[in-house]
Amino acid sequence: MPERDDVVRAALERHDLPRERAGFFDEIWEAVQAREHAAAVRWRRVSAVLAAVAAAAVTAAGVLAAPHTSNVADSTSTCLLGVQGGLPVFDIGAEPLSPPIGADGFRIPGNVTMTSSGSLFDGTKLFVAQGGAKGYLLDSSACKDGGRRIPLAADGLAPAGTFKTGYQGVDIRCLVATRITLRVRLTTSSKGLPTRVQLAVRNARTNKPLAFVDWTERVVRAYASRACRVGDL
Amino acid sequence: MSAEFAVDLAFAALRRSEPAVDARSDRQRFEDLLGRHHARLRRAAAGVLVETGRLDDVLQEAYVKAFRSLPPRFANEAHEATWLHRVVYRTCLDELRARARRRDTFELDPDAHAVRGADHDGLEVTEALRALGPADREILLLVDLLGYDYETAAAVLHVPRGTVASRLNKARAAFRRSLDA
Repeated sequence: MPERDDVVRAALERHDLPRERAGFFDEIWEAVQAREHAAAVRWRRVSAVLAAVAAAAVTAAGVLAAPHTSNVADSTSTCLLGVQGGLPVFDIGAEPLSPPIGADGFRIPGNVTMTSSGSLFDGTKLFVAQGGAKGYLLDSSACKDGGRRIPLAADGLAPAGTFKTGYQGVDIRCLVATRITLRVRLTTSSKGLPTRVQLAVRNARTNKPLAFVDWTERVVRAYASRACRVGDL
Repeated sequence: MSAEFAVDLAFAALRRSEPAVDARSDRQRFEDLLGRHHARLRRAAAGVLVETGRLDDVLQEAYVKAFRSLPPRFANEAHEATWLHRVVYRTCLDELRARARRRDTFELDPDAHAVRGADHDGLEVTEALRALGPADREILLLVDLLGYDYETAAAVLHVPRGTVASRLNKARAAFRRSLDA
């Protein structure tokens, strides 16, 4: 336990802390309900499409499934981006596994997350893959299968950082394209857990590269167009 | 896309679209969580924001985000505290960015110092906090005010432990200088 600075602490305790307004917690639950209703409507649409895909996949499962071996999914989609502040936006966040936290050595799993219409926290999730969680999520209401095949490479992009096991990751934010081509190549372990994710994004109209992320739990390498903003995660 | 992925995806989507049978327990869990951490989170958020006019709004926004992405379980209390503080801290940063864009931050009226003699100490602290960056404020608040260890502060800010130690020293020195000025 680090030593606390008592002078600083005493001063900080004097910082003005206004009284909480009445109904503070009730307002939170009202906001939660409103957002869950909106999310449920969105997800009902997505799930209908996915259920159809699943039914087709189950039919073919006898041929395609290869249990207890590693697996690779490679898909290319065209995604229509949501707008924030009048501009189309997407964010890609990628971070590796954290170091052990606390006495029991728990580690926060690494992940690759892509959002639109807002920040990584409150935007609509377009793509999510996380160490320790089976499969991945690709929002088929915003992304349709197909589009120009794009390379999984960093050509034409500037390095946005390499992050090894730790607390740091990268947040790439681009506000330059309305429609993007998204290619995701996901390799999973025999247990279905993601071991590597390669994600390439290009402007669907011009085919200019915007971002490329090569993620494993231990190392994350990110590249971004100079037209995008790169920040810490 | 392989069959396994498609099935995982479909079930994940269907689970999300189903009525939340466990909603009550999730809410209960979250309320318990806030019961344990709300006072500290409020203190930390007030310090990072400095101006506390929208403190309740920012905290509410952070709690809504936290509830909507509540993990099924936490490894321990340190993990849940880290996670909650990180959500609140990120929301505070969003608010500070929005505030900068809006350019509607109000400067303290210098005359108010003279009038509000009883609050003079509080205003000094506000000014001293304002002199620091948000990350330095957060480190100072987490370690010196709330008593968290360096590892927790490092996890909240997503920086290495050594960075927390060095920034804490600099932040303490700058904070003390501002108070003495």
